[in-house]
Amino acid sequence: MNPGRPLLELQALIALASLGDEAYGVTVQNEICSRTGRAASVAACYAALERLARDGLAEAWLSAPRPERGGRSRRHYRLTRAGREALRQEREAAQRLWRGIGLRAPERSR
Amino acid sequence: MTPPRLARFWVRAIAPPEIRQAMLDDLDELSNADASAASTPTRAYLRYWREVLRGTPHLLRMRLMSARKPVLDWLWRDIRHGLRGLRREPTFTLTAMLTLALGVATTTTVFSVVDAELWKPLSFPNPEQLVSIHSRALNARADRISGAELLDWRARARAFSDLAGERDTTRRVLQLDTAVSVLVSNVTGNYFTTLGRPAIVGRTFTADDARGSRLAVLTDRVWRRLFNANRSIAGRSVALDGMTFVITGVVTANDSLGGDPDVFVVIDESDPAFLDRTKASFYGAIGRLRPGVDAEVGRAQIQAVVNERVSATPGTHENHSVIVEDLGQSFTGSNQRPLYFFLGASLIVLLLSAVNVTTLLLVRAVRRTREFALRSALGIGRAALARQLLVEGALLAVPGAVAALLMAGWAVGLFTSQLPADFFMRGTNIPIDFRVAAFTVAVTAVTTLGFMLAPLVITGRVDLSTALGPGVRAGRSAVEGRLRGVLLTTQIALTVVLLAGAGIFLKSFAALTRVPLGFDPSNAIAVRATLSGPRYASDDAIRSYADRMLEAGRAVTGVTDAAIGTTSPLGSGPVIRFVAVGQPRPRAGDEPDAIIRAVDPSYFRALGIRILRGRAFSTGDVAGAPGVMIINESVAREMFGGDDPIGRVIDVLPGGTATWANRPGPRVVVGVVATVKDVGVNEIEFGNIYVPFAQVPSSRIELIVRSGLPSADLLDPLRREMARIDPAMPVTSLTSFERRVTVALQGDRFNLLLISSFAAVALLLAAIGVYGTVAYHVESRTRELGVRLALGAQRSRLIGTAFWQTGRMAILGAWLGIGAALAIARVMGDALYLVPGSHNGVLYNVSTTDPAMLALAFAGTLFVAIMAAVIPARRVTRLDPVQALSRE
Repeated sequence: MNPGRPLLELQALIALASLGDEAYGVTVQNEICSRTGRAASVAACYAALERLARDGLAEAWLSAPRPERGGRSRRHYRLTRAGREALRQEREAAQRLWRGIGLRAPERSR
Repeated sequence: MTPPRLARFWVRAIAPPEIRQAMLDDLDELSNADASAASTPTRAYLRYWREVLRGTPHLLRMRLMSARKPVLDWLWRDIRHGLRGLRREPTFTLTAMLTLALGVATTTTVFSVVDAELWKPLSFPNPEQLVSIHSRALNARADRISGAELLDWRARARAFSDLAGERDTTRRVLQLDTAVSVLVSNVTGNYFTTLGRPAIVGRTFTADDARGSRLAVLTDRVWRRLFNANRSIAGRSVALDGMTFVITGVVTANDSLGGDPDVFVVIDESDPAFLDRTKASFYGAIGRLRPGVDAEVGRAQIQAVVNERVSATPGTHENHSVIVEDLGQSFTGSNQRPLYFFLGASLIVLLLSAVNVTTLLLVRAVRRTREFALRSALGIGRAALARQLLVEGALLAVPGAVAALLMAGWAVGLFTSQLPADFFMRGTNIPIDFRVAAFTVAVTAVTTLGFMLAPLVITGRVDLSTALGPGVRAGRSAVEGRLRGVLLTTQIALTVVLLAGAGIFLKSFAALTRVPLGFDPSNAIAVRATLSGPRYASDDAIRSYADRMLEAGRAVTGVTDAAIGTTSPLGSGPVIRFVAVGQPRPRAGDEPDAIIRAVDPSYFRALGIRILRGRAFSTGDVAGAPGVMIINESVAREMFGGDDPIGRVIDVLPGGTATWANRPGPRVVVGVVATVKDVGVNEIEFGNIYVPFAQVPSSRIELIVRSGLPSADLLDPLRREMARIDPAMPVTSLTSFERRVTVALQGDRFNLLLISSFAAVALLLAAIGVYGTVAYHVESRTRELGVRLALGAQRSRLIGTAFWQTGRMAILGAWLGIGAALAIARVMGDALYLVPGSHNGVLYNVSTTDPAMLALAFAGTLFVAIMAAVIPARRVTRLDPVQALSRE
């Protein structure tokens, strides 16, 4: 897999896995924000999602027409099989990366 | 909260199409959520903007990543669509293209001239380092400096990496199979290296050549003409005035320094004459500043050298200040005003053509209202529409620009062929080069962008329901009507301005052709020779040549009178300073000056110059007899006022601008003659001093012949006779005085040609504009007119209405044009007139607010407007109510 997948794409990948069929721009943004505590712009989320889609890790689909959107569909995203596989590898890589690292509170300096 | 419109527009513009709508919807959802979460509308608004601004880099990057193919796709689609549209309306397409091309071509033509003459840097390496250096007294002509001074400057002014000198050019005889007269320039050994001017064959001079070598460098013109472009010419010897010179190489002729000679020869810097401080033969110096050194530093250093000289030898160079100016600029001075004036006038033509194309596009846009409405109903956004319009503009602009460039090349060729060779200081070889092409592209692009905006204004205001509704009146709106009114008025006003300008130049030119010249140019010819070399070193040899020349001239059949002089009217001549004996002497340097001519007794008779007082020279005024002179009216008035100048003594001062003229001493005034035109027709009055040729023989000789035959018939017999006097001494030119007058007026003819062509283009454009407007007016109201006809309205009244709608605007425009012309005249002031001591004139004896010409421009423009309006207005008379009503 691509060793240097940018953080936001990884986060989007995780968000897709967590949201399932409910994943679209706003929810992905919320999910990332609530998991990381950092706010990414909607556009940044779309950029990440589109790149995942380009790499075949996610795919876009259109919801049924929605009244609150003036009868237009929402553009949803979901993980593909390759996406789930990539997520698994990323997770293992992250665990290997963090193995043996304990975090201690910084010593108070006088 | 309603989302900020600008932010939405921005997202719409930059977001990739596949996520554009999703992105907008999500943003709306976010801001709605914000609003319902009891946060204030301002907060929601700010949040929206923050989202958009933070997201912008991501969107742009996405766009870029995915852009490559889609851009080509829509571009290609737009181009095809545009081409289809343009092909459907060939008249519109051609008119718009030509109109644009005419405007751009006019501006490009003038730009290429102005650029070549004023702006383009010299074609030498690092031209910004090259300066021209003079020293001069306050308000005086620049002084000449001696070779010794040049060496002082070179040694002391460390700001310059090198300083070179060039003497006045002289005519010499180059002896090949036949004798050829060539223009020779004497330059210091470092002349070419200072300029950084390379040889195309062999080598140029080096500083080492300045030690007594007799070397010559040819310019490529003479190399091609006389040496057949022989590439192995370096090392060959040639004879110049009987002295042998070795050719070291060939350089490309470069006229940017005021015209190149045929041959350069190197100056011997060890020659005592070069080092003699009393022999000032250099008109300043050419310097190359060291990299990064300011010209002012160099100026101060040379000023210090000059000041030292003044304290060492009082009486010379007092109050002299040193002037250092950009070398390229020092050759442009006098031509600036008229050139800028014409550049301004050409910009008016450009503006006019832009206005015209805008009008045309507007008409077309209104015709296409349905198309635009339909497309926007199909979900094509305004951005796509604007893109489509821009592509269509480019489709008009690209061929327009190419045509303009071709036209400009043709026009520059035409105009420069009409010009005397020395009309431009930097030569009439004006290229259509990269700079000109870049200018054309830039002007076309700006113009196109300008007029593409107009249809967008309208299409933005199309109301779908009315545009697509039944029986539409082609979507006329108030904005559009006003815009068209403004455009037409502007067009008429600009045309009046240009027409008035052309009228004023025409009147000025007519006045110039009627100016009394002071002599009679008809059927008179001047044959010019410059005697050089050891055989003509003595006065006697020169006098004997002159006598033989006169004899030979008289021997030609048809010649009724002949005379000898150094120069003749419209041929300038060297300048001397003088004082009247018995009058208070002005300060040194402030003495009056005059053009001096040495002439024989028959000179005034042969040229038809009137003798106002006293006598012409006689056969008794020979060498050894008392020194005499004849002055012209101008000198008589300046020096003696109302007193009789005959018998007064005038002292000619040393320092004449030609060697032969440098024969100072007192002379008695024996006659006063009429003032002649010396250099041009529109000139300040020069003082003339005539001395007897027998007393002051000159190596520069003109034979003047007058005949009963047309000048053209005499040229060949004269040339044959002259060749017989001394085959080794060729004459340099044979010119009829009629030709001289023509050449003297060529600059003015050029100006007239230029502004008249502007005015002609303007009239044509105005006619097209008016035609278009009236035609549109009739076209767009066909239905209404049909109804009125059916209801019994009179055709003549309907025509009148159609006519008057446009006529009102045309008359208003014409008045505005008169106002603008008056305002321009006011701003220009005397800039276009000869102001002695300041600048030359392009206008003569006519006011820039000449009422007759303004009235003519007013009437002429309106006449053309009416003519252009008649054709489409007549369509109303042929209108069939039934057909008109059944349209659409």
